[in-house]
Amino acid sequence: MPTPVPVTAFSLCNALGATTAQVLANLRAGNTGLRPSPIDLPFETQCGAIPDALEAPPARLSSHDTRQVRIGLRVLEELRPAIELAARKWGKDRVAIVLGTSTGGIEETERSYNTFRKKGSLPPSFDWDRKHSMAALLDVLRAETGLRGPGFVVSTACSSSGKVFASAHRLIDAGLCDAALVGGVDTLCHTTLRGFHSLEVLSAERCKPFSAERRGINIGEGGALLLLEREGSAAVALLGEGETSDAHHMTAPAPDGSGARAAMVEALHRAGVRPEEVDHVNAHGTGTQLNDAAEAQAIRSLLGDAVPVSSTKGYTGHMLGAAGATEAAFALVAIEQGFIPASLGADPVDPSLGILVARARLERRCKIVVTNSLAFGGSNLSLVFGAAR
Amino acid sequence: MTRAWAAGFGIWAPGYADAAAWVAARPDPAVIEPRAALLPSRLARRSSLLTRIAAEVLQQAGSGVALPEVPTVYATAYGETQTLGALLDSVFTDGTCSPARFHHSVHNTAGGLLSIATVNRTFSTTLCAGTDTVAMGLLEGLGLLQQRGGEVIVIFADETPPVPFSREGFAPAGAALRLSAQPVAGATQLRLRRAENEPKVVLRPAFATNPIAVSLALVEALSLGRSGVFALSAGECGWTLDLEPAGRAG
Repeated sequence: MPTPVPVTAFSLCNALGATTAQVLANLRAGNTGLRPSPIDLPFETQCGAIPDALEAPPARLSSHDTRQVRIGLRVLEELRPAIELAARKWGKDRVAIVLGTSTGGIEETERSYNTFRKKGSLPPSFDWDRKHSMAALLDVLRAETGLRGPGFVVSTACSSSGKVFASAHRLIDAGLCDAALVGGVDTLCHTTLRGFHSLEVLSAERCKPFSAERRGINIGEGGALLLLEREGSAAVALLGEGETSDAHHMTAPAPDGSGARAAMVEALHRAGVRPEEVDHVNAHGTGTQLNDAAEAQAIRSLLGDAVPVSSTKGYTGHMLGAAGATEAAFALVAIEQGFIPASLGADPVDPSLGILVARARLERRCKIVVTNSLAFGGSNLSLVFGAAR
Repeated sequence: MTRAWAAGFGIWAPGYADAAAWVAARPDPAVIEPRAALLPSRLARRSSLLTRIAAEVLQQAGSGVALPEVPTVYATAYGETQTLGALLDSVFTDGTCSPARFHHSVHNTAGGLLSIATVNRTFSTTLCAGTDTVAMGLLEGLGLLQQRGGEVIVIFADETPPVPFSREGFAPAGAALRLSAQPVAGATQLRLRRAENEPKVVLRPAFATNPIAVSLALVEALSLGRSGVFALSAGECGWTLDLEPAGRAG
């Protein structure tokens, strides 16, 4: 069984706000960050866009200037003191960076490709490795923090920044590092908005996960960074992870939720937690017919119909490669601050799902919280967080 | 654990159908497409070269084992770049977006399609790390072996980026290693460690800027039974393997 890993700090930035305090205040208040798309599209949809302007990186990082990097630096800012403490405590060589993203610097690639189409050449400022590459943000965070431990980027679509917790936990358990900066960042872009629209799963109105009236997903953007340490003062610890594959279809989940269920079973087993001990599930809950039905079946068959389940996609939109880490932070907030967020948009709940969806915020002391991330390619990830013992 | 045994390996690159052909260094101009026999023919036709390369080297490295039961790590610095290029072209030329092209553009397309093709419901991940992509693929594989024991297959593959993002010396290529947590008869032991400024491995010019090219050189070293230091990445924060062929391990 893996050793619990304390989560000693975290930072968030998304449609709910540009700072962690703003994000959590709006989460508690039940305010949505979903608004009409800021990107010009030939169809209607709602998006979770970061409400504030994002600062350009300092001149030394101008070659890496993308929206993804700007979000990453915004999220990093709040976490700098904790990272510096960890670097002093463990040594910079002993702190890993494991990030998740689905699209990297795609927004800049799109803009540059459009310039190429019109002018026959890429903008001089465009650099494939420094702007497009999924690893560009890793380079930036290394440069800004000085951390020199193992570093890589997981890109498994919508489970990307959930799986980074499992990777970091393995590195710590294997003695390859003592702490890890984990998280994910993704941005709004044409490719994903038009892509999900082409799959006919993008909702024109605000998404309604687990509702009888659900019509699909909204896309969001944002970032989350969390600090995991072998030992440290923290209210919440990462207890276990489960990672499975559906082996069913590239975009549709196994209809019986078997892959998601297997991920939760594995995560609980590794955490040493019994299903009846789970106090809350922060679900993947995208708001598509297929995802919500399959995930609900997985939850019901493993955890029963009395565990409060929330999807927070109705606040932030589906942040794709940043969703897993953001929702992991929401899961630990449920433990740390003692509340289960309302599953925004769920009313009227789809009665066929057979799970207890939290239609309003619940003030409740949680000791064990599960969060799920499910992705294209049938990639399933489940995390178990618990009150630090 | 930072050590494992190389229980199997595979290579595919234009001109080189497998590791033996690569080691012989005599390119066969007839080898222009990987067989990718793991993929059903209809799916293979719709898949990218990157995914077909991954299918081919996975099959070579996994020869003789039950593929549905082996965890897989896909290490690709840039992922499905040709599909992304076609997607960008259609989006910005006529505003269209093919749903198949979209869901085949994600970084874990090969991992997803091959989990379906091999009915593998276990662990799979896809990662990148720039010039450390090969080293970090191995690191994740070694972490899995420590966590679960048994075997893991690490697949390295990158395809030539599309115009206007392509560059010289970037022929498509792939390699795979089947790693075992336990000693395997005749297999080389690998130990992964940090190292500073180790001499760079010489890469063949046609592949020199492909970020996973060092994995082909690694498979070549393994198939020739070489021992000693093998630098995976250079610089102050590089990663190195110590290779100990069977019979030489202390």
